[in-house]
Amino acid sequence: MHTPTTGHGSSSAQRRLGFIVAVLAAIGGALALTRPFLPIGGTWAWRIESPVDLERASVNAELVSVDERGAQLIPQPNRPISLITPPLALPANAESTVFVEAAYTGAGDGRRRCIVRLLWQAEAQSAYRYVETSARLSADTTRIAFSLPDSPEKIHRLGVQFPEVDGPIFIRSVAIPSLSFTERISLFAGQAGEREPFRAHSMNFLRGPVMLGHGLNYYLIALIALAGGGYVAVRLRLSQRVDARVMIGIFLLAWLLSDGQATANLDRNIALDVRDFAGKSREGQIAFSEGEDIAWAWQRLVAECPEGGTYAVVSDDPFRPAHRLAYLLAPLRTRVEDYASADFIVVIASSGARFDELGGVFSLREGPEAKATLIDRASDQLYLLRRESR
Amino acid sequence: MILWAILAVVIPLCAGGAILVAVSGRRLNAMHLIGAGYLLGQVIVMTALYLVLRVGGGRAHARWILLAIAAVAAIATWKVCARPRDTKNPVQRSPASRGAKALTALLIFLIVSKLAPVIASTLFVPVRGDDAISIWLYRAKVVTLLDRLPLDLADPYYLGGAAPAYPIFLSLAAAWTPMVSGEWHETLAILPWPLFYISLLLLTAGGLRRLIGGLPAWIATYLVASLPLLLIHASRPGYADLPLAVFLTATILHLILWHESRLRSDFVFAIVFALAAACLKREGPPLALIAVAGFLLTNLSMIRSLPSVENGINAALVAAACILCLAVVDFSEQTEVASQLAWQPGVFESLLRHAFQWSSLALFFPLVMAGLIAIAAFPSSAHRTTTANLVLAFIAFDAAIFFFTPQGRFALNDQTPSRLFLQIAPACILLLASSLARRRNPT
Repeated sequence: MHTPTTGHGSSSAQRRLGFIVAVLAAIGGALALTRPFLPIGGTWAWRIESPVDLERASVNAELVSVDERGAQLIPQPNRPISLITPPLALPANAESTVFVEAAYTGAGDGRRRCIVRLLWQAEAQSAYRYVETSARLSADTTRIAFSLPDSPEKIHRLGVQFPEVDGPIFIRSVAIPSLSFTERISLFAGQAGEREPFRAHSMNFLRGPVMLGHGLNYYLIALIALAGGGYVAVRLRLSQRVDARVMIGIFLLAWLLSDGQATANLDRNIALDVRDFAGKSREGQIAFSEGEDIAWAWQRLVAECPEGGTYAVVSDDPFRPAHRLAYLLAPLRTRVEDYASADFIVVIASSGARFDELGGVFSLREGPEAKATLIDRASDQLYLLRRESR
Repeated sequence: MILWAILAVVIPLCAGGAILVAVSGRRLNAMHLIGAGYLLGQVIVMTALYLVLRVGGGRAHARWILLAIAAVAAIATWKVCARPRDTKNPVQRSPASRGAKALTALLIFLIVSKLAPVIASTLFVPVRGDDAISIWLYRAKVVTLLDRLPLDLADPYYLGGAAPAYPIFLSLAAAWTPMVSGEWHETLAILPWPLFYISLLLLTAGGLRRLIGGLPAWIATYLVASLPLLLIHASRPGYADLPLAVFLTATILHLILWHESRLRSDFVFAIVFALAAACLKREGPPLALIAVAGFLLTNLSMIRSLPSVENGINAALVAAACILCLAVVDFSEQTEVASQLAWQPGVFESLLRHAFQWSSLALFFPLVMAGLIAIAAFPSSAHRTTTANLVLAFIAFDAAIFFFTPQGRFALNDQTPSRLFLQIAPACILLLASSLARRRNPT
């Protein structure tokens, strides 16, 4: 192995410069590693104790009550519970961890693990983005920690969403408190070990764990700077040669830490996937991965639409149901865009679809009317029609 | 069905391996041979299906194609057997220390352990990725069940029925095993992805071991194997980024081998793999061009030292590859994108997030920075100009796509930067390892 070394034959000015750079790297690394553990940031809190606290907030749920226990919310049909703060002016040096206090009474005496999302909006009218975590909720108030997803001045509103909760939930506060050193250590360990659930976007990127507001790479680069800079500084101070193998070793060690986390996350996600899909029928697998509505539509179309037939998907979501069904049914049954020319019309959660069952007429907003007969209906938002030739 | 599936995987692999040995001799070690053999086998499969379905416009008759590939494998094997064995002794290296052996064993263990989630997911979890379902596997399913590739524009399944401007080759590779097996089976269709991942590791370990020795080669292989997003693409198959990364890495490896051996066979395989990379995805042609043209331009002195006949043949090979690429790849989308060049604001922050802040590629970008600094610091590193220029050109190309084209919107919504970096990451690691772990050849 070719292992280049430095310091051999270099001038004393170069060595002095190298020494200074190495010391600065080590100091920078040490400071970067300690900074997240120091209580030096500003705080903020939104406590919900009366209806006044919800002024200018956005409540996407049925508001049952507001008292010192917080806002009690139950979900609206086909919509996850979410609560958005009024417009914010967070302190510019805000601490990096947001806590949500919530209680879930639908779990009875036990605890239920479910996904909780922290939403944020960069400016009014812009789309909300989210980060999510898996939390164990119970009837007692639980504190759910999130790293602040962006710099404070870029956050216009924060929000919290419970996509898997179907019962009443109390949201007591959203706050950025100042934490003690021991609380930070404990939070760091908890966040480092958190599973990042694999979603559709996981094919595009992995965020990795965020601890005390900083990603894993931040800590690893700081660690490399501290260890590498320290090693080089010591060797140059002692007028000894720097062994490149040690530097490679330090880098490899940091990579191993990163890999350990990523592999553990992958293994946990794949193990969950395998467990979730094991023993399920094809229908069950489709229902689990694509949703009950798509599985129902697939089953009904296979049963009703003959091979060579066509169907149209009418849905508010222009992408997912249509593409999923196209993949599941092609090429024996062909999806067409125009419902007025399709043999079958499957309606999946479409706000603009109108079907007059007595008159046998289907229409979509201002689109053409199509004579159709109801074949099967799972709900008002999910049904299959056969188009009749005029 | 299982027997046919096994044959569909093994026969092209054997054909690819046998052709490699028949053309290059017995210089390649077993890992390199299996890794590159699988890739060459996939090139043969994709080419054969393309010729029958797209050029011929007929039905696939996949089992006849399999028989033809088996015949090619037999002929190549016969040629190998007829060849006298190389009498040249392999390169002797000093024996590794116990520490190096222990570290190598640890790295191999870590690499092999990555295969468990990849295999489990391939076998037991259905495909869910958006692009897999709406493009690559959708077209594979259409081709498999129709046993033809509709060529009529009015047909709803024209060129597979989705994104007809995208190259069809990867979908053909996915369709191959189900076609030979006689029925559509999603698990069989996604088999190429874990096999591409394994061949990438074998190729990197086997190819680099010859160049830089065991431990550095296994370190580089471990870095490639543990890129988090690469592992996700291997275990949730159906996207084109992993296969493109594999063919690009194979191109770079064989160009480096050619630089060392000056043997035409190495250059031929580099061009074959570059052409395959160019025919996989929209980013393929420019990336393959950067790899080949960048390598040639930074090694002009070596090229001048070759006989002019040799250079003429090599130039003809490159020209033929370019013509083939132009003939089979639809450049309409790239042309449209290129016609809308404009600065895209807000992209820089997004690229920084993907490169340094998030964990998609672990510490790949800090590694690249450290590697480039080391290359600048150590003039004795092998082919340092080539490595520095190619690594920077790959990264600059990916960044330019987001900075200057409407694709910038996919940086703002975080959809593609990490995936584009993923396509070049293994090739960059291979380049850096082959430079830093080796002294420049004084000749």
